[in-house]
Amino acid sequence: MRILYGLMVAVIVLFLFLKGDLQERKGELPVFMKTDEISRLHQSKININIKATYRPSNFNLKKLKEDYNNLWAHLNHLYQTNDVEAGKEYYTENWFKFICNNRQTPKSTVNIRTDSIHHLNILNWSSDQLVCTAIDSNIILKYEKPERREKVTIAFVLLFQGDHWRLDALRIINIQPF
Amino acid sequence: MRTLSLYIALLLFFYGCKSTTLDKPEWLEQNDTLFVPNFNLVFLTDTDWNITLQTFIQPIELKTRKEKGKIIANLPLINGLTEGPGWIRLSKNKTYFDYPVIIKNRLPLDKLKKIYRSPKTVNPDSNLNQQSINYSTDQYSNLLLVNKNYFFEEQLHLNSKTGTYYAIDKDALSTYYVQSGTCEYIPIKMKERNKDNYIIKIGPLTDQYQNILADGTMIKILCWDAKSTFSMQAYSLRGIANVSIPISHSRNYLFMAQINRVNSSIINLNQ
Repeated sequence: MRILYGLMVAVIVLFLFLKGDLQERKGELPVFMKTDEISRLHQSKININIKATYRPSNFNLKKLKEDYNNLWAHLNHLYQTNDVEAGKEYYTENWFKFICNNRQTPKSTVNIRTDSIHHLNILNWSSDQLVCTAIDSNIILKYEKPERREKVTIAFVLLFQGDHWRLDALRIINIQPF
Repeated sequence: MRTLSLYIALLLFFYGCKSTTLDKPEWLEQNDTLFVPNFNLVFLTDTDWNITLQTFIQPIELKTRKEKGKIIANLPLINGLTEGPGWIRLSKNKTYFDYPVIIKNRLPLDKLKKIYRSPKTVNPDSNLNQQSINYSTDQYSNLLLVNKNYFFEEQLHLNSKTGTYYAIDKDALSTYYVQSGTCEYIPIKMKERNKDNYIIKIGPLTDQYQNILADGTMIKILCWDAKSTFSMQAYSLRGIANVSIPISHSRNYLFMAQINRVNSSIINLNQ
């Protein structure tokens, strides 16, 4: 009888141990461990012209191009879905708070927008490499439903915070059919 | 008779499946410019449309309510948006109608001034120049024109006085710092001689602009006589360091303080 009880206790202990071991830890992965699928699939052509007093190095420009491309991937995604969370790594706190004013349950709409060519004119570049102001002229944007193309010029500010260039402010200067 | 009934049934079935063509609803008091916050948007229709305001940044589904022969979308909850082109879209299943608008935020808008200084920390030993990048936005992150420009950059020559300064009043993120430079001169004097020790006062330690050196500045102390040399370290607090040397009647000690390559004068402790 004693042996039977002992076996039962052993089986219960083993069961609890295995259950605890197999239980997955839930929680959000750190940003640097995540694959950003939205950015990974996006590739637009970015031409850069520097008009700033301080000139960014080639290394800085490479990072800027990469992040600006990713930012547009997320802006297009936001345009289609109102999914404010997906691109938060590319928005400053200020901008994130602003778009969260109109946060709704993300929903895929038929408003699909893609950007293809950018002409970035960097107007100011801070000597500590943390602030960039620019005008992106004649961005080619293609829309679906209804299908059309536009040439857009925007002014914007990017701040380098926590490993990324992030959008802080924007102004649409001009839009014309293309 | 049976065949005829079948034809009629089929006819009714196809008629039932035929999609009805929806007409574009009339937008009462339509305007090319949509100011937000706004009163309600009213469309004359009997159909239960979904109404979305599409800005350059995001689609915002508007709450609607139906009244007799019209549908009303609630806009007043939206305080401010990204200004620029957008449209209002009425959609139902696969049918949609767009009403292009230019979105503008209603006045008065706050003008938020942003100033970024770099470098944030300035050391007067090297340079007191600082770059300032300025721009202004409204509270909805729309860049504002200031003197016909969205951005403004200037080179500033800072005051040499050490301190923490605000580029924008009371905005902690806009702070910048002027540090003290390196020591220019080390004053020393015998402060006190008690029964057991000499107390030597070193300081006030200042840079070339008479700024007090940072707390914790390391001072190397050298004390020697004809036979031996002793060295020790002291740290300044508010530009002053008091050093205590045990009295030895048998020896005629000389004393000197050093900070980097700057030496104090030499004093004889027994005199």
